[in-house]
Amino acid sequence: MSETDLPRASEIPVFFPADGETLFGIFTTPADEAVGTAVIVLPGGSTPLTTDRNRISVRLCRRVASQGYHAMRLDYHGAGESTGSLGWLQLDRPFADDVQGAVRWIERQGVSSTVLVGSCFGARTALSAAAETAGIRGVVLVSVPVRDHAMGARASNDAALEWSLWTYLKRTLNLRVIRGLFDRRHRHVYRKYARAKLRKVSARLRRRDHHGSADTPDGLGLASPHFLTPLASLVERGVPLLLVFGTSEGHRKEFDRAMAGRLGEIVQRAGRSIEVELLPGRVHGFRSSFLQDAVIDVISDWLGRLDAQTSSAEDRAARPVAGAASTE
Amino acid sequence: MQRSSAHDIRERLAVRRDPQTRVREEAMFFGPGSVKMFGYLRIPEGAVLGAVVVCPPIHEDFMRVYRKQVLLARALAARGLAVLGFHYRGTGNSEGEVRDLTYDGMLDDTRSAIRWLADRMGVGPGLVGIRWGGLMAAAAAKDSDAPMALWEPTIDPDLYFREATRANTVWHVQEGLGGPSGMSFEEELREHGSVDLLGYPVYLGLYETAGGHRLADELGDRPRPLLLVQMTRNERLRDRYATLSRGLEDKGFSVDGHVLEGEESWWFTGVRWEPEEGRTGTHELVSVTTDWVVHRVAERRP
Repeated sequence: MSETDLPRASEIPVFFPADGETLFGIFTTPADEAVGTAVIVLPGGSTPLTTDRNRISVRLCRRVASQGYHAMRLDYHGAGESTGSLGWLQLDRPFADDVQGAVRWIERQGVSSTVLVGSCFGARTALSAAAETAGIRGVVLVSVPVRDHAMGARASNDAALEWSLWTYLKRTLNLRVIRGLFDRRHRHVYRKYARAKLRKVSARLRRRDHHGSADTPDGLGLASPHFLTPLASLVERGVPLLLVFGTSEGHRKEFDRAMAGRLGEIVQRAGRSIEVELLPGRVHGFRSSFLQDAVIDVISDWLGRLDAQTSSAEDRAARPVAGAASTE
Repeated sequence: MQRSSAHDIRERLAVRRDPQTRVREEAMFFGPGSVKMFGYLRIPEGAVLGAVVVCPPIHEDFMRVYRKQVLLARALAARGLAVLGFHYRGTGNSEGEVRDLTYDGMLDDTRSAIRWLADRMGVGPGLVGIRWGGLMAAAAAKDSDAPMALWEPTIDPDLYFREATRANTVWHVQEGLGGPSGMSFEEELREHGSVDLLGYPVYLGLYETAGGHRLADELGDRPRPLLLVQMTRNERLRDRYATLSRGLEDKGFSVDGHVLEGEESWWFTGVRWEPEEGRTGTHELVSVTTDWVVHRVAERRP
């Protein structure tokens, strides 16, 4: 669906305070009747801008505005036009404060209900912020990592989980790798892989896998508590969640593996309030415009169902209860 | 308490003041016509020594350099220059659709931005052009003597699309998504109307209208000061830039070349991500460009 097919929404640039910084965002107001909820779009860590790759955030905001939602897309602190500085991005330290700033600004515009949509690091930010925020109508997590690792460390952590020591040796003892030891950048990568494996081995030696639990706090377990705890909290509150993965991406494999542990229990408790949508290929990173469009369609459809569910719940709440005596 | 930021919904304008640098920042939608561009203006509260328009790159380059661009704009404004950054229609936060992007449309947008800033500040601006934005800056200022700083400018659109296609192929092979289709980029474009390059659809309109616009020609014959920045690990200017420099110097341009550590592969963001402010190369890039632009723009003051 092209933007010219959509009713013309109105966009304004905004500045808002968040944890001592001034963040930049673009606020989209719906062209037609508003549903009274704002969608806040949170980008991934390697694309921390209002636009994200190929303007997917821009297009998503304009699409949801055509459905009656307000929308906000933002530059994280230290990125784009926002003030502050970005350190190394870590999944166990998402930018929930940035989201709180956006929520407070939106509330001042008279919109008190919010849906958070995030991809990768943005998904962890959405999850963390939603667990701390009232008025959350729903959360969308696109390619959400269930384990913790610093930016650029997922591959080394995956290797630590999947490769045996013999695999490490086989991969190390070849000419290309040995030559790489003389290059500063290659040595940095090799150190990451070695450290990840050493952490895994030492954790196992310290017997931190208590009670047969598949989830360990060493950052290399199946699912991080920084993912599980907020997720459980949202499930407890009955907040609808949509998870979107590509069928062939690493984050989907992580998710499936983690379902053997506590994550599986949480998802079972959630019942129909958690939906998982799989798209063919690799969604993470949005390196395909076809998949970008598919993600926008999936989110838009889910929001449409969310709105319909809420409307019928409100209709039911407004109807007089059968048998109740009239007070008139 | 004085508010440090304000929003005007009617004018689609947001304003904030940086208390440390005493620079007023305006984010807005602007431009002639019904389809508006997004723009970001920085104006020093004290004496304004001149003005600069920053012409952005497109596609993955846009994401790659955005923060460097912002750091540059802040540095220039702190030294007394008014700085306008903008997004071409159909890109970034601007209105419009990417399928309608053409070379001529982007050139119109660049000229609109230059005119807008000149009207606002009462002085013709200098220019910074980044990658594809280098072509736009050169073409828009062809008949002026405005000083121009170019970061890794696109020499030839055909070369730009060839490099993009190569990066696309490499990524697909690395991800196990198959090799080349057997058709050339142009053949695919004509067959399907667009080709996806690492998440960015390139439409036939942009490709056809950009063909033949080489940087050396777009810079024209009117001499002016030019800073050419190469951002790779090479120690010398690459052949294409060395050739460009020599040709421009033969025409009377004053060309300063600078090589610094920077991006090796423009199409792969996030593979070895690190915070922008922490990169040695970024500090040098901003510092070299700021010193050069301030000096050259100040030279033009009556």
